[in-house]
Amino acid sequence: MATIQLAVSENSMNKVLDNLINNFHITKSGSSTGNFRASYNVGIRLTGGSVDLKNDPDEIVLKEIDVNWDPLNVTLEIDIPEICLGGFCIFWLPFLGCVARAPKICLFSANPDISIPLNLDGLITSEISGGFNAIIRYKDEPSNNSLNPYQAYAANNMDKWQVFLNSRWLDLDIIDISDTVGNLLDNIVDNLINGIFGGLPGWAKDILSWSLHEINDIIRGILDIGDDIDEWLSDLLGVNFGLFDFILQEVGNYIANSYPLYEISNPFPIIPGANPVLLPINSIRTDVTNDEFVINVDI
Amino acid sequence: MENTNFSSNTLSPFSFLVHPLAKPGTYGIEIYENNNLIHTNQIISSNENKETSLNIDLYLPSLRAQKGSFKINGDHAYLLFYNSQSFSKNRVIIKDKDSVVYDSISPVKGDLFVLNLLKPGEYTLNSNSLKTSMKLNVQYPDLKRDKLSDAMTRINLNSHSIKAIDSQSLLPNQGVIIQLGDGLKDFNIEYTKSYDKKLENSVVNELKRMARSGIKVPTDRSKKQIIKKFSIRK
Repeated sequence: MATIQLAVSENSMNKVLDNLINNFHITKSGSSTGNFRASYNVGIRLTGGSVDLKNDPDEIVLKEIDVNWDPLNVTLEIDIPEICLGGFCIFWLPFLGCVARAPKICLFSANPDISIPLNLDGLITSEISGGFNAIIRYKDEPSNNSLNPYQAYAANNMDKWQVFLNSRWLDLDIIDISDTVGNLLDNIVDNLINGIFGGLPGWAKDILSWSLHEINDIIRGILDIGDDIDEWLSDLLGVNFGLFDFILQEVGNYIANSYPLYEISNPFPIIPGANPVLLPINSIRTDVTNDEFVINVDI
Repeated sequence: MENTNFSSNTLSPFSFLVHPLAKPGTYGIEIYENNNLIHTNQIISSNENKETSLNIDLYLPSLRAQKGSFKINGDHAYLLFYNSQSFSKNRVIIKDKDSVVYDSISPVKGDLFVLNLLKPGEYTLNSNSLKTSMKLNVQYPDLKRDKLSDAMTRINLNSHSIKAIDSQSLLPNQGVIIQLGDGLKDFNIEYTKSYDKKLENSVVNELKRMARSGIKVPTDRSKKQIIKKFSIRK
């Protein structure tokens, strides 16, 4: 049995990587429960990255692929306690206590839900890296079962040997949460105030905000922000929504199943054209060196 | 909330009249709006009843929803009249058989007018009966300076203090209790000077600042420093 070697350099692999990841696009929406309810709508694309080939054990490392979150919309739903004005004691008597009290005017019904939409586009910078080994699959094209190889070639419908990458490990690194995350807090406060007090004039919002005893605690406590908003945001997306695991699973599945790294038609047209010369391929094997990805084609 | 002018017969969600009944008994109550009689009922003041105060909403549907007579304690009976839905000119007359024991347009010592001013600015209280005026300065709240508990302390005014004091500062939602009588039979309160508009949104802006200060928002992180890592291993 003879073997033909096809060798692809690391540089060329980068071009292959570009094609691979440029076709990746997922969207997801969902919601979470917990201390507060939140829903999300997210779209992910991949760009950039580079290939690093490793020998012994053979591994193809895809490094630092940028994750573009577009869109990244989160809606927080918060229960707000009742807000009341008045109710102060007018007349107090010894032993009896307060005997006349001002009417309490409650402006809002108990526990209204406030929805706070947050647009987080561009807020998070993250990268995916992963280590892969090559797996070989044979795609038996069912539509050419009744055709001979030359007919299949003419119909552009040939069986294929395919090389996919199967992940051994995948990492999603959150590199940066933008300095504009402070604006996120402003956004939350503004939306909270407007959600509660609606179209009231500015001075009335101020008075009622001041009168709502716990509003600052609401902003921090209900949202469970704690001391570190980076932590809160990555936990919200990663833990509450499970988005980071989802992305890693989707990227792994996509690379392993949806988009082959390489395809070789079987039989292979060593001389293409109207009268092709087709070479049957028995099998293919791969090898990785520090500089090249090698496909050994057994004919 | 924008209504900022009151008079001694303006009843609203933020202004009330309080009258203590002098003795137990069964009384007739007549309620007038813009000089028209709109409702009548009975008030039974007796020690069989435990309630020492009754908040009587002069909004007509609320009056009509009242089932039977109003019932209140005999020894301590404070009637509070207000309108939960609007600013209205109401007159309340309470009669013991045919004898008028209370007419809200002629308040006596012991009657109170209670006010809850919300909008910051300067209000002028004028009284024809006292022939005097004073200022009520409702301050714009400052989150750092003003605690909510400060607004729980009532401001008490009577004929003597209204004559003696030029102005009184208070916080929004801080109750003002005006003791009528001793020459003080009527007054009106007018919003005469607006607050400094630059203050508007100051509380909301301060809330934003407090939210930011209480939460660590890193700004000096080095480039490519990993904040969090999520991994799958096979």
